[in-house]
Amino acid sequence: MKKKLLMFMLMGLATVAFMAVSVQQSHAWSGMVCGRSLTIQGYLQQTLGWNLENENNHDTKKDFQSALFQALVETTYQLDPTMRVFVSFKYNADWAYMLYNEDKEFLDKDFHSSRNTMYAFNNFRDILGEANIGWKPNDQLFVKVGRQIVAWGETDGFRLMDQINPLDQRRGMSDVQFENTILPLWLLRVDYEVPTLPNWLQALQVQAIFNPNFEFRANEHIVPGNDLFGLWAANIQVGPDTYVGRFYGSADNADGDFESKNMEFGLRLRAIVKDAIITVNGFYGRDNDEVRILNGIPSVTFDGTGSALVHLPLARYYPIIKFLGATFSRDITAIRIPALGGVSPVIRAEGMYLWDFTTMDTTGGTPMSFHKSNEIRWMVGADWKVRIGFINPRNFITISPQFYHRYITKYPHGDLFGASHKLGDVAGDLEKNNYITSLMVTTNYKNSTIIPFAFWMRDITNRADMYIFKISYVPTEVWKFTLGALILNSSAQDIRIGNGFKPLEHKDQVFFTTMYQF
Amino acid sequence: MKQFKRCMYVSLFICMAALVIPWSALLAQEKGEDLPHPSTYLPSIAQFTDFKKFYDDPRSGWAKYDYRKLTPPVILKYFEIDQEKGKQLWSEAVGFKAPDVVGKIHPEIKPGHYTYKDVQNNPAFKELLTPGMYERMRQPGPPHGMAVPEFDIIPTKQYYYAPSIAQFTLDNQKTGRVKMDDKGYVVWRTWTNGYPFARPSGPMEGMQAMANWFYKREKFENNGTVFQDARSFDKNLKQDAKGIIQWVASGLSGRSMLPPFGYMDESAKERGELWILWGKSFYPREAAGTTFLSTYYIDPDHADTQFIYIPSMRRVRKMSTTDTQDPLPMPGLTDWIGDDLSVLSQKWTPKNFPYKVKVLEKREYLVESPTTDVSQYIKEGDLGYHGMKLERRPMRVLQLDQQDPNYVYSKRWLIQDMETMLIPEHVTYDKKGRRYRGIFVPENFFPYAGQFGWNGYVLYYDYIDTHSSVSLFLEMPVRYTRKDLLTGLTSGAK
Repeated sequence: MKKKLLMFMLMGLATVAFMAVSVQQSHAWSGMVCGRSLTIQGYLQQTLGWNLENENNHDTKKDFQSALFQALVETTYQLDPTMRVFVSFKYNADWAYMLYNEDKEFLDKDFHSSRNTMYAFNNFRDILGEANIGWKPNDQLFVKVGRQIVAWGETDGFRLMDQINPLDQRRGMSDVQFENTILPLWLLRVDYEVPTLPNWLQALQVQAIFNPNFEFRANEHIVPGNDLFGLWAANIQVGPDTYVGRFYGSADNADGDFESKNMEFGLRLRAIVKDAIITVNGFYGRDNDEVRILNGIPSVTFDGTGSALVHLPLARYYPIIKFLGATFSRDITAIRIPALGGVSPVIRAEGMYLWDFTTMDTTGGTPMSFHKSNEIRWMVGADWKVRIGFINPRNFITISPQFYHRYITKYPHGDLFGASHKLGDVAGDLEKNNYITSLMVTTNYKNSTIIPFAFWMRDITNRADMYIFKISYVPTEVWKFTLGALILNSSAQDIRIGNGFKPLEHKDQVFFTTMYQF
Repeated sequence: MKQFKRCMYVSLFICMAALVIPWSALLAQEKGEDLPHPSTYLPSIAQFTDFKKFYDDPRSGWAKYDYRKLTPPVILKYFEIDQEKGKQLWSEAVGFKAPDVVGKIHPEIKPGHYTYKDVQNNPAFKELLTPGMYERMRQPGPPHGMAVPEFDIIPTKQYYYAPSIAQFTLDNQKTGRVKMDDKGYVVWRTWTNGYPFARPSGPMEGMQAMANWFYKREKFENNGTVFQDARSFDKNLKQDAKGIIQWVASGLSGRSMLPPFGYMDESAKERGELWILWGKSFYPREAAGTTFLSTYYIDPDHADTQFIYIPSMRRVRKMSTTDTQDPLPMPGLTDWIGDDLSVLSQKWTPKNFPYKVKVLEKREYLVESPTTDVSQYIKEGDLGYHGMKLERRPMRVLQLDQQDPNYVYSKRWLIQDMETMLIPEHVTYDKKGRRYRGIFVPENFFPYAGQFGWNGYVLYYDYIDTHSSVSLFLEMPVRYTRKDLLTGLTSGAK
């Protein structure tokens, strides 16, 4: 263990030294190329992760388990005053695969087999981030075409209406930057600012999004299978020393190349009325999550530890998702508590109605059929800054609670024999009413050089919790050091396996991240 | 088949683009949009870094980026004034010329070159300089930046505003049309243009002086852009943060220099909007693209609004209108709180953290003269400030006592130039009465436009945490529309 610890520390130091030495200048490069402004910025980040579990679990590596390296380079080139080109490149690799190449535990638990998929994300579509041209010929029109990210909604930490771009969870819940979690798509986006408005309407924008399906991309979920997903593979134990292995069988409609059935359309109206931001959103396209049902007889293999792995053949496809929703955001000036600093909270609310949304019937534990129902999903949250002198005499503390409700209208009732039905999606079981709440707290000290952060998410329905604690030290604008911990807890015994945070219970970790920005 | 489909769609896209692009160029324009757009002649952020190096650069900052060389003539004509007329009207409005009313305190201190040793050895300077400025007269080095090892005292000048502003101010003064309520706040619908009170006096003198500050007509009536190289330093003068920010503003009311005159549009008049401002960060990378958009209202009962674009979330968020007491979340600006932006921009209202204003005295001080060439510079390492010029100025010394004990400050102390209505120095005190922050803004003067701006160095001190924020500014008058500002919120969007 000491040798591995030393190796990881040396690896971390080597990466940091590489950052400091190879990137000669401490600021973004900005200059004129062919008479036009070009800016190059980015970051290098190295994270070391240490598993906190004492037991020898099937789905984790004891002690040091990850050495995640992330790099991003962003280039902005102003072609002319109305047109800008933005291109980013990413690199994401976990040096643990190199360091544990001959580690017995790593081999026995079959993590090494995931090397091809999880060591480095070096497919072109993972290396190329965004690549788009933005064109603004006048005050009214803005057009952006190319690989891009479009974010809708007001929710932090999980996604309601933010369904356009898929999510990349291949690194699980490690300390991953935004650019490495949201996957850009080839989109056409058109924003139109309505020029003439009545006095009560401060601004009105129409946004249209078209996904021509040049390249089909969906959420990269956390799934079972150490040999496929590595150290973040979901742990679903189905019996004594018996676990769900792989899901196999590919989705039968994950086609790109302009297949019209996978084209997507979105429309958003965004208005500012009496200093409130209000949007109305509509979307038609493919769900970024698949649905899957058992499609054959499971097979069983054994890994190096002697554990049995049950592999499930699945029929999978990406169903249509169509919704209409709205968001609202405004500060509530009537709420002011002078003793807490007198800052009014900002309320954020988001809601959507989905038609014929497809879920899976998971009554028997394994999905056996599909189910369609309408759904109502809504969230209300707040951002509030308070002054609590004995905690931070200089700066305010930001508190952001959120509450989420997902309601399934046509939840199936019991059958003739009194057995109750269960629905589910890729994240696990769903009830007729599903609730999640979250809380984020942060502040800063010493002229924003010390930044503590805490995040708690409670899956009320599955009685599971996630905690993230971080403290960052930012001595200059180019260096940032973060020490953090991730805790996942799902102790409720009556919740079925595979639900809530149960599959991730052994992933508790402490991490340390060094970031260099240029 | 797939290849054919791909070719077909790409071709379709190109055809659509060929049709859409010319059409969209003909889309409805805003009224008066026959003037060149600022993006066609303003320097880019990459060029801004070329205008003057942050350290050790005694060049005039305007050698290359004088707005008179960059602005198209069709817009420049609005910024060219009859200087003599401006002088005459302005002196008539305020009732004096600064050179005539100074020179009374220690007249033996005359124009010339001085060092910090002269200051320390002559008690006359302790009386002529504010305490904050006196402390800066020392050998450069920790704990705060921009210490002044040597300086020149120059003859006092008469400063003035453009004739259009001066005329409105004079009219306000003669007719008394700008009214105050019984608490001393301007009845906002009685103000349309100019400075409200050219000659503050009487029991409401302090409130009138502050009204002049909040209705100030500098920065070309809030029409322009400012590039900022912001750096902050710890108590050992080690740089701990740097930011590059661009600010863009458009005056929505009281427009007399740039069309449309009066109000930007009917909405500005109806809603009582004074001006709109956005600030966008370009560096460091983590903050790059972060943009604030603020709308300031004349109506004291209408809270100023703020939105922020957060590039890491790709979202526009509403910020609380009352979230103005925290340091700005931009590197290099951590000694600035929202309420101290532009020296002092706290909402002036009786409803939220009101002040009791006292006029402590009216007297002359030696203050930094508004630069006319941006040749001042800072030395790397000890952050010594060189090229400073001081002049005697008639100042109104004000103390603003905070009436709500929950505010971050217990009081503000400031000196306001009685001729220019501007505030070159401002000191705040925390709840325990300790000196907290000091702000030094010498401004610059454009004599050919009768205007003031933020060109050169601006200094913010934190006395309690022993920290300094120093910014180098390049400002240019620019004609922006409301839409430029609103769409500018996401102009840094990735």
